[in-house]
Amino acid sequence: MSEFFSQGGYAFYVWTSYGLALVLLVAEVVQLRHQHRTILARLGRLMRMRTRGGNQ
Amino acid sequence: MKLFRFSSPATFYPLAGKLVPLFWLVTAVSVAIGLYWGFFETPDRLGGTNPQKEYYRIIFIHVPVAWMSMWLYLVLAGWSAIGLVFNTRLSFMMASATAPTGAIFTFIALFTGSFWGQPSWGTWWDWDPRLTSELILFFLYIGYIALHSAIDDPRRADKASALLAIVGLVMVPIIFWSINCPDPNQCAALHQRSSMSKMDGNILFSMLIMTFGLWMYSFATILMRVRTTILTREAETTWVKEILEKAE
Repeated sequence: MSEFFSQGGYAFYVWTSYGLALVLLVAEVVQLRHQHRTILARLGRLMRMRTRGGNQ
Repeated sequence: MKLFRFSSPATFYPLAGKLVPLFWLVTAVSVAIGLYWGFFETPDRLGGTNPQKEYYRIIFIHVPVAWMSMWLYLVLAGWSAIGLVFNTRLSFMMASATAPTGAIFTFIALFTGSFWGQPSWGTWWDWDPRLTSELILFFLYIGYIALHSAIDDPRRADKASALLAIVGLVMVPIIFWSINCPDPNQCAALHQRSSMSKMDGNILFSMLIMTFGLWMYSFATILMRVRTTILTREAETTWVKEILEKAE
């Protein structure tokens, strides 16, 4: 197993590459989920404000 | 035509919502297979007389994201062209949803290339034709996103950035053929001609399955992004209001 992690002494290059790719791709998905929820909540709030005649 | 039914945002929104989990499943399975195969079923060396050592394993992320960065640019330009010709709202929305994923892939291609270049070529960066043209592709993606968000009127933003995307299309064949340098004294190419036919079958298999996985990843993220865009742009329609009422 340590052979796998050391990658013949090139662990720094190999794991930094895969690590950055993983971080960026996961961050993209997290951001997309967050954005979708924010938009749904914002539009919902806007709609309720209008139907109640802007009292909020 | 039944196909045109799906070009209506009202039909496409729920359809895309159903497809996203499916694409995630396929992404997870193929990336898991690709990485397992790439790290455990491949030789520790790549190439014949002067082989690359274990650092060549960056290939399983580097080549797939680089391919996808070019492919997504073709997709971006394709949706832009369809939008300009047929004036379909959804095509422009698909185009602008493609750009961020493409930009991220391009950045990862440049970054992982740098971390591969250091152990194999002895340098993090060089103005090699392929590196330079891939960097320009990154700037094109950023330029598209910046232009699109700089114009307030969405219809004008769509059209202006679509034009930019189509003009930038010229970069894709340049990147693709940038390794075929006619005169090595004019343009020293660090990237060597890929010899996929001579490549170890297991290495090739992992690369291809990773490419497929990242393609499915792009489908998932692009559909997620376009759903958010549809909601924002169609906020005044009754079908979006029905969705909002259900969401409460």
